[in-house]
Amino acid sequence: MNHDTPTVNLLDDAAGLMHAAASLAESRGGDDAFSEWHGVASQIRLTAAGVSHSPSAVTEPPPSITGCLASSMTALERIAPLAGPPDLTLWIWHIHELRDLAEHMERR
Amino acid sequence: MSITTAATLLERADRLTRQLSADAHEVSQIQWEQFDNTVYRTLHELIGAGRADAAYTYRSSNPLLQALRAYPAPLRLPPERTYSIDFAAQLMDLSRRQVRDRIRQRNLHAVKEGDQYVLTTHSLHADDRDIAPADPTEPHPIARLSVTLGAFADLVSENNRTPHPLDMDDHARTDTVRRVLALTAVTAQHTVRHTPMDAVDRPLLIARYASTHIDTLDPSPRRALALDHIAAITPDGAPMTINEQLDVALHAWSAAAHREVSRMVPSTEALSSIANQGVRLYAVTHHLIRSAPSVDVGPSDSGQVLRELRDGGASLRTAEMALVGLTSLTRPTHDFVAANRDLFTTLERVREMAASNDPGLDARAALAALARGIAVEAELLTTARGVPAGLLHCRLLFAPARTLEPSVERLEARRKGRFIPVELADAPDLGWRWEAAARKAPEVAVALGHLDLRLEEINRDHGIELGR
Repeated sequence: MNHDTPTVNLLDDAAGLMHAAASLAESRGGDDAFSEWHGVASQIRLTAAGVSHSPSAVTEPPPSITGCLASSMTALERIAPLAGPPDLTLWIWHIHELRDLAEHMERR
Repeated sequence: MSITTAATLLERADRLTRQLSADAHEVSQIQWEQFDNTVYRTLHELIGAGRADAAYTYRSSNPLLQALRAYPAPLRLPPERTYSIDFAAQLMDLSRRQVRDRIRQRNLHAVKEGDQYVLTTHSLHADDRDIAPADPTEPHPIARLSVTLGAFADLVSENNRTPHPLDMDDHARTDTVRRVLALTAVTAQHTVRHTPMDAVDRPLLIARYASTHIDTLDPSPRRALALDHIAAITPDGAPMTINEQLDVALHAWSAAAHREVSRMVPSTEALSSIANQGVRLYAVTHHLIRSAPSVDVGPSDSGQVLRELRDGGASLRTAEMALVGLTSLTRPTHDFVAANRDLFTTLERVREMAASNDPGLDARAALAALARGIAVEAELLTTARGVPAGLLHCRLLFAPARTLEPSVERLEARRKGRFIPVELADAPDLGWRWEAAARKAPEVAVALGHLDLRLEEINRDHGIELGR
């Protein structure tokens, strides 16, 4: 991909926020291999791999999974329509779906 | 969306055979030959295909193999198979010595397979006759029976040829073969009564063969549970119920995951997601077996199955975590990401509905679907077992230098936050963790295969009677 530096940074930031969300989900799952939260973490990491392979280290991520995912979408939406990867809109949609899923699970 | 299991098809064939007594239509020779040929193909797939002794040696004392061998001069042998000299001698009504002479004189073409010579279907001229399969739109009851039995043989054949076929032991196989022979005997006797006199010889011969061999096979109390798990799925129309949604989600995920695993350089995140999805399949199955009161899983030891699911889950989780933080720099496809999430969401819904005893969930059907999903997981793990280690050896796995063991060579990369190839010493457990998971997954699938999940599908029609 040949994107300009601000775009690459935003992609990396978004992926970093998603990894932060995955870490929160992992910690909710704890040691129980059958916990659904490990599944949520896996879904988030999979989608993050589509956004960027070099996620930024996020120093102070939002405290909730949905918060991290929402911040991730905000970062991606700052990328101008023709500046990012051609399938960026689809990745944003995947994150949106993940946020709905996490929201549903956090409500239970 | 429709699911057709081998058990459904066999039940349907049985019902169609029972209806024959009320039918007085003449049976044409073509209709009979289509049925005759389908019966042999069915027996071949049930007994012969996939066996180590598929060349049908005469020395075998297995009554099932003897029953297959005794089939009177099959009209057409399944193509692309090999047969022993004994079998060829019987087929050609020659002695073994005469067959060997013909091979020596180059009148028959034999090939060496292991330490014995075998003959191909083509060299036996056993595929010369062209017997078209029965037409699914033909209303004649024997044509309908041939279509149903043919679909059954196709499903068994497909199962035989998968890397991890659902196993039918010989007791269960005997039960199935006896059923096929019973409906063959009835159909042959019906044909004898409803076919011109000059064409009764062959149906009569088959009727005698089937009646005789039913009695040579010991009645088995074991029903072939694997028949409930051998299934074809046709994704047509929008899924209405949660069970249909589960079937559709599993089907889409299976296809997408197979495509991911077979990419030149698979995405490590996709591989670890496949392992994680296996854990979810095990977890929801575990939950359903333990909590759904309406599910009677039959006489099998459900405690043992639950232990297998737990152990398998731990093994897959270890494999999944071994890949976290490493990347092959291949992006997962949108197709897989969506299918993977959809299956996860559907599994969660199934779990929630089971927990609240929601009547909208057919727990037995859900367990049968999950068992199929677990068999798919075993297939995927088998395909992917060497992939992580292969990527590592080919230096196609990368990680941020800051997350790996520091060394002088890595200082610059660490400082600049670069990704570098992962060395064997960085992930020494990766290969065996995936090996262990790939060994365990088929064991879990086999344990699930022993659950009694027979579905009440008597009234479900699955597209066999096209246009009706």
